[in-house]
Amino acid sequence: MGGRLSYGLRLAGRNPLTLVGLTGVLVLGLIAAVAPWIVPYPQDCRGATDVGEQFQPPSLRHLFGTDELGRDVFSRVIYGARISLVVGIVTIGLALAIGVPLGVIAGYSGGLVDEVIMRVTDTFLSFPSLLLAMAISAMLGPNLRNAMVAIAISWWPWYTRLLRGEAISVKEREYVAAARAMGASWARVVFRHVLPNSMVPVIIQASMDFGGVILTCASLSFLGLGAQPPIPEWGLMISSGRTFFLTSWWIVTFPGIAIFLAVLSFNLLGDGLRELLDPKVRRRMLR
Amino acid sequence: MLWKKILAVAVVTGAMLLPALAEQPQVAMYGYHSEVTVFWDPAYSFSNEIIWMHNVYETLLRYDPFTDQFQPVLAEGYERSEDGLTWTFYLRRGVKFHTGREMNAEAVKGAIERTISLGKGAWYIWDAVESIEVVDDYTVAFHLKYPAPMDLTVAACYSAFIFDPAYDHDWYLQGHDSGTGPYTIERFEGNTLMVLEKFEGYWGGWEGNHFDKVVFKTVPSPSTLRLMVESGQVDIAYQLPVSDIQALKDNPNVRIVHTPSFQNLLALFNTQKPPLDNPLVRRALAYTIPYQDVIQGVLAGYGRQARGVVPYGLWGWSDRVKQYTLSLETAKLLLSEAGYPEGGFKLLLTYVSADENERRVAELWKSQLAKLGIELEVRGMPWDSQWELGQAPDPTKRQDIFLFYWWPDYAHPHSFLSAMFQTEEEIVFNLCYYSNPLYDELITRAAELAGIDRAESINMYVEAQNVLMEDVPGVSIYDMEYVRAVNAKLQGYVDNPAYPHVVWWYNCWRG
Amino acid sequence: MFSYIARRLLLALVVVFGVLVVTFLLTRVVPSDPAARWVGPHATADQIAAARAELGLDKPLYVQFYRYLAGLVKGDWGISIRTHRPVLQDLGTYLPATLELILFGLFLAVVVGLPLGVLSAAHNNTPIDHLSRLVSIAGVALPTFWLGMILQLVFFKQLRWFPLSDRLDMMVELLSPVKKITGFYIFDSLITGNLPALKSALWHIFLPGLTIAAYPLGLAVRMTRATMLEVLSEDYIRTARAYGVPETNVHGVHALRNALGPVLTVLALTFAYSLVEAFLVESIFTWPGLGYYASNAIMTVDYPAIMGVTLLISLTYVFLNLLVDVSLAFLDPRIRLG
Repeated sequence: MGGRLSYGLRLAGRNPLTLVGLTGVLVLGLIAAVAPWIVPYPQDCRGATDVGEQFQPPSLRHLFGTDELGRDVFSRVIYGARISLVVGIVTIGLALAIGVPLGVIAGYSGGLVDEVIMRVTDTFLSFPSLLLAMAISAMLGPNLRNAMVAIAISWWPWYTRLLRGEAISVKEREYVAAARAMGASWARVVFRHVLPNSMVPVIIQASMDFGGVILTCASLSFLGLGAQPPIPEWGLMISSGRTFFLTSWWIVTFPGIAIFLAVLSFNLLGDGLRELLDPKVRRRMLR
Repeated sequence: MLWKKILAVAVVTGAMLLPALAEQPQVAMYGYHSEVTVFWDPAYSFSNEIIWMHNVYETLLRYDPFTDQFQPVLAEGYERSEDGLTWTFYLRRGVKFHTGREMNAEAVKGAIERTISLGKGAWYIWDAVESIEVVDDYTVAFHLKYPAPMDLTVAACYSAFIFDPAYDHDWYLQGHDSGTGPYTIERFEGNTLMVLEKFEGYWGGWEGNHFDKVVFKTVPSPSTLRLMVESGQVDIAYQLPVSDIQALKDNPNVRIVHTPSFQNLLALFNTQKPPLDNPLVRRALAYTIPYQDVIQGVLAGYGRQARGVVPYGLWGWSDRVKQYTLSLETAKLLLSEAGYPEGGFKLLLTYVSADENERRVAELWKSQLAKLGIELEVRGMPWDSQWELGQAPDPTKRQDIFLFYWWPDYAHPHSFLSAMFQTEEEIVFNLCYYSNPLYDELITRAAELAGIDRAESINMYVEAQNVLMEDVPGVSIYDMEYVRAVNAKLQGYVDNPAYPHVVWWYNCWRG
Repeated sequence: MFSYIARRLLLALVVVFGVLVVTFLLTRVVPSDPAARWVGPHATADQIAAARAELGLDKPLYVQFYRYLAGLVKGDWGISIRTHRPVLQDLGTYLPATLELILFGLFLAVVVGLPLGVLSAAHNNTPIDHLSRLVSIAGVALPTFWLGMILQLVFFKQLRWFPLSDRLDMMVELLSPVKKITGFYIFDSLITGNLPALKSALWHIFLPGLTIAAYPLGLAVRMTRATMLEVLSEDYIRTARAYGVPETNVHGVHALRNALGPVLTVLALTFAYSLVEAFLVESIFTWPGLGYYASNAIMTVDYPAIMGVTLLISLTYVFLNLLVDVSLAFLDPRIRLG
């Protein structure tokens, strides 16, 4: 295992961008973990307002300036990391919870079950995910929880499709056949043997999707279909600063940079992971 | 030879340019933040289109709320019978519809009857009308079921247009008009552009300074709108962000016009759901609204704290009505008395998600309530969702606080006091679910007196509002001011809050 | 071959039906009353009830679905609650602006993205490569709505190079209005010789077009680089090199020609994605297109309009997928067997 890790690190070293991504993700996680204790104005993240301080440009007192209700933008951007990470984890968890069982069942069962599940999957895949998430969120009523549900609903088909493919190849392996021959129940074969051995590509894909989910959630909030005030969600912050952005550029600029850096880090890391773990890409790199 | 050619070219081009210069039409430009047309039919009109419709269609009278006077438009005069049940209007002679027909008593009757029978827009302002009688060609009489101020009704902002009644809805949908006003539709594009040109046969004539064309254009981006005002492309603009208004104040090419409006922002409390079923808690909440912060921080000073429910400037407003101020100490005392010394409850406030000002007010309020241990959940919703939640069959499933604007269908305090606070069997706008027989009695009497004895009517409206301030089924937070950025050269423009956002372009010119 | 295409068509039909079911169901779980919206804010209970009957909302769900389907086929996509006009007519009004914007964006993406990808592959694992990869990843990671605002801040507020928003200068729109032929202002003003409008249209489309281009640009760079690397390792390229074909020709002609297919495929699929991105971009630049229409519809829960937009975009997506699959089947015999 140790050899594999150092090998991995060596490979990562060939692509400095992966290291950048990894560092970014770690920093983001760290900031999210300690946010409530390190921000200068924690009350501003919970909705306190101070009209006398509105529209202050960046200064030493307010590093990123203040917004239209006098709240410290820096504190809110830092705190927003926490929101975005939670959104990422919950949404992807939810999407996996829907997509994985369906995928493994489709792949293992084949036949009509497979056909039905995959046609449903195809249907959901034929909506661009942001559009479907928007429509669902608009219909359910906009708030952060519904936004997460909406994104998960538009996201699960990818996992189903991926897992199904993997399950089809895994079910032909000898140990699965052996388990079946020994009289293991259907559920046991599917969930103890096929599922664990088909999960790797899905896990890689899921880790790559964090960036996309964060971006989608920010877009929803920007359109008023996600987080509701006064939650310091980055997309929402940009949306509320929008009216004033030509006169008070700092209200929108900093949350945007935060989204960009978070998504960039996850994407770089995801790219690197794929190159590491996808044998086809690895072969090319080692050529 | 060459110079001759040049000369010839110069003469010809000059000749082509000259008439162009001489005939350069005077064009006025209204930049509007939303669609300029929602309804096309004057009998359906109930939305933004009034900004151009009041230039195409006219009403019998026009109301000036500041002087409480009526100005004759299509009616030159009117009288009311002793009992207030018959109102007779004497029509202006020689007025032509844009369709070529003459405007007479028969047409007036036809137009109003069409509006009533369609049941669209604000048709219910005609509720008191029993029948309309054509006395002669230029005299029309309204017979009423109960006394009502018909002068206010015929001057209403919606559903009081006089049009040629010979046409149907589909005809209007194709972009035709049938008004008597100074302008008529020249062309339009969807809901976002309307170009009016002058109607040569206008009864007021075209002597003196007038615009030849008026353009109404949707400019959804406030930043763009601001630029257009600064560069003089747009003559008048509304709904600019406060930060832009502050910046425009110092621009010599722009005049900032602010007038009290009849629009106010109210928070209606759910009087049927704990803890707000307790009047003490409601009164406590009235002491937690940061009125001054809201006016300074959200409205940049362009507004005033409401007093009672009737907005400042509308008859029925009075300084004899009680007014609440921010006082967390008082609120805390009241809460202790009600059994909530440490707060400890959660309230749901709903507002229209597209409205940034409502959102800011809610957030400012939330931060005050937090200091008393009350958690305010702020939920932005599309208007109809907000409204539907407010009408949920089970009162405990409804919101605790309903934040929204009210403005009158016609310039009458009744529009405020009855719709939101009068007992309702089926909830429409009484979104505080308030029911007080004494109060109902007061406003019913006041409304009946309005057409007969205005002073006494006002007294009763004041008393009714003080009942509300005591029971606190809701609080009016501020009376809005309409803040407009106007081209400094524009002359003749007067803001009339009885007709929100309407500019009578015929009366304006560029100096 | 034909059996493959037939099967693919059949699948597309199943998916289209699924899309219809989903869009229909979505609009029926709305926690609000479309009838109330239809009649406007100050309506009475009677008016609402009348509107409900008028809209067919009082009928059972399956009847409503059947009516919906029958209507769609006849070209009746419902009446927008907000604009009170037929949805299909509204879509027709707003679509050209969006298409023009997206095509312009994709054009930018191809023109900039392909060369950058080729360059990147040619200089694999050098600083040039890292830089262009960073550009490609950044393009995908940028929040579009934010990028739009930043471009406005820089190119409008600071530099005054480009206009802030809208499709045309307002004065141009009034003095020399574009004659509507296709609804594409650049095209229409060009063929009618309306130079002021052409200039204004180009001026106005640049920033939103650039914003829309960010995502496909990132993808184009990435795909070009990846396929170029693959193609460059193929035998015939080695042969070409062995025969002494100059390196620029190897990259520019032989390899790029083979890489073009997959890149264009991806871009075709980005098209539908861009339609959704346009929602955000149009709202920033107040571009009067489909996205502008859709965001207003969402804000007011205008369900026939939301349904119309969702349906239009999903159908486009299904159609493009089909088109790509079928054309790939013609090009690559292996797929037919698979």
